[in-house]
Amino acid sequence: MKRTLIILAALVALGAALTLPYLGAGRFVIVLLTQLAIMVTFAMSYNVNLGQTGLLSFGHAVYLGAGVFSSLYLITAIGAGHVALPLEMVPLGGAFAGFTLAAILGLVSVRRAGVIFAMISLGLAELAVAAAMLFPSVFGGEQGVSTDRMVDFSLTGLGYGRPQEIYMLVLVWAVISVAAMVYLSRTPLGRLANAVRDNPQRVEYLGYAPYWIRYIQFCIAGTFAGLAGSLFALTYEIANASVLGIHMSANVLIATYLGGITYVLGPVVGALMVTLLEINLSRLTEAWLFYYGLLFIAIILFAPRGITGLLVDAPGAFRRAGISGMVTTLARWVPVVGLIGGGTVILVELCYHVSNSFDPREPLTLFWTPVSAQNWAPWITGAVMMVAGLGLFALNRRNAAPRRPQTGDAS
Amino acid sequence: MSILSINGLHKNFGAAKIIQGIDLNIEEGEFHAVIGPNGAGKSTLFNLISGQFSPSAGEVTLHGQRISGLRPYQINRRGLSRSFQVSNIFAQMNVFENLRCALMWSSGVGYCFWRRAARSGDIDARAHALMDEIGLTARGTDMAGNLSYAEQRALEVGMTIAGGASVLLFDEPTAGMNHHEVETFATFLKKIAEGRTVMMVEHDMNVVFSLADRISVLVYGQIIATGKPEDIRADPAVREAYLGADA
Ligand SMILES: Nc1ncnc2c1ncn2[C@@H]1O[C@H](COP(=O)(O)OP(=O)(O)OP(=O)(O)O)[C@@H](O)[C@H]1O
Ligand SMILES: [Mg+2]
Repeated sequence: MKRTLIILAALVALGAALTLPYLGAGRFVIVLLTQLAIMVTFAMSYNVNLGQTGLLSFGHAVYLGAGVFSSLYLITAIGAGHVALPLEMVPLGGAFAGFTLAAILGLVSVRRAGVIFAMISLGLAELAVAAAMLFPSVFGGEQGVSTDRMVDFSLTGLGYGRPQEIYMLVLVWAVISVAAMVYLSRTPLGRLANAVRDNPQRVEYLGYAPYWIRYIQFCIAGTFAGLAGSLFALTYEIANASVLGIHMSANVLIATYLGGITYVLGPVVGALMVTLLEINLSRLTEAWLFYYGLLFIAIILFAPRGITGLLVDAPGAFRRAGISGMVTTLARWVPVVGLIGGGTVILVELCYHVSNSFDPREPLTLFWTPVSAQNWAPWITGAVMMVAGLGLFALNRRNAAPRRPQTGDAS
Repeated sequence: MSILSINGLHKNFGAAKIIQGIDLNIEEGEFHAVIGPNGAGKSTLFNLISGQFSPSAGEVTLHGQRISGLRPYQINRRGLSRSFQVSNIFAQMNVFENLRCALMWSSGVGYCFWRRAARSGDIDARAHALMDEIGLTARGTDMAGNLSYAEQRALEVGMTIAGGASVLLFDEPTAGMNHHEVETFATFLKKIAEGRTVMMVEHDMNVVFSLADRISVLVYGQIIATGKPEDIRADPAVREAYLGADA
């Protein structure tokens, strides 16, 4: 029942995604969807390491970068007639590059999980960035490497010059990748990866070597990261070394975590959210990165299983609480979220306005009202909302989890 | 020939000599109990046999082949499986998945990523049968970390026997259970020991004396006596060193 629902929802989403260009969706929407598809693939590959195998990587973008740069050169080579490969198959090249790099670096990475793996991944990421700086002839320095995807060699006969066409190609590969990774999570290896995540010692007493399980998973993650890199290269036709940097790695970590690392499809939710947030929030406010960070912290603190966890738990929680319970809960928490959220936005926007705007004396628009940052009123309003929200929060906490009365008997 | 034999085994942690020269032969089909006071080195002995540690001196052979120095998974593949004193399960996976992972290798399933687990041989059927055997069928889809203590102990033993190993090591399988649970569990242990070789560390003397064919007494890293239950009960050195308090 639940499963059919999920499959149905996925099919509807896919159908919508496929028909959008023909329904006259604008260029902006198409470009956005393409970016989404790339990010989803990348985040899914990241979670093969993190959620599935318990490997927290700070350098996953290195494998994305392997896919990006190898594909840029591959496309150019196809265009020049040096390689007889249809453009549609370029992602296989990127996947191969990601796989190869992961197969090499994995040898030194996955002997231990936990902090050691995390530190090694960080070190390798720094090395990759340094290497990219050292070889501007390969990585193109500041302006990067570029190519032209209109190579006149394709299976479908499409030229792939228009965003709609490349969108279709990216979408098909993204769907194949996501489906493959979902499938992988259900194979014996996928199950063993979960076991290694939970308890590597026990796995060793069941006849399997945790090292191999981590290594294979790591290679799979690298392969799909490389594939995502290829999609990036096909879409943007240009990249510099920043695609393989720490920032990109942190981004995918955050997206995956926001989505929920314990769910196979959690990264899809996370990637959708982050990409949409990034685009919409950055148009609304200069301080968007700040809010983005706050959201990340809030999720880690209050919903460690991510947005997907909230979505999955919500129906059950509603059913258990009943209408009246739901109303009470909402009455309790909506003011808290509203006050803290509103107060934060007011204070942050005021600060940004004072320190960053062209003329701080100009009024700024806050919640559809023009206010002046030179006045005390908005500052005090923000501070009062914040304090009131935090106070209510503490009060709610206290009521929600009353201290257990001490009972007489020991033990 | 003994199925498991321990020869001149020593283990030091730094200056601490924890295992100080153990010689022991376990015969095929035997139920062998190891008893001894806290800190005597019983778990360390199991860790040495099962590959968690490699010995400082001496060796362990299984079916006549040296297994000391091998990794635990290699020893497991040769037919030796162990349980842990503190439940050592996959907390974030459900009971069924725990058991399925435990019996995959013996079903000939390797690091397979091209076939769904549910389609890999008969592992699903075997996992269900095992779940039934250890009485956890009703808990099949519950997260292992949410099981009660006794249920986790049952799962721990279930995972140990899942692979069909011919030699089983149980480290205090009944630890922390109440009187009633211990009784049920002892019956269960007796059943699974049939046709297998078992070595068991246990503090509950009723369980030890009702199940064991032979008993070894480990004190300060040395075996001070090995023999039939009645001989051990009568041994003056044992009475003094270990049973003294309750004899
Ligand atoms: N990895 C280790 N490093 C250092 N010392 C250890 C290690 N493992 C065990 N020891 C020490 O070896 C001694 C024996 O421990 P062991 O766990 O084998 O005892 P035990 O007989 O199983 O006791 P219990 O009945 O309490 O389970 C203890 O003093 C312990 O501190
Ligand atoms: Mg012990």
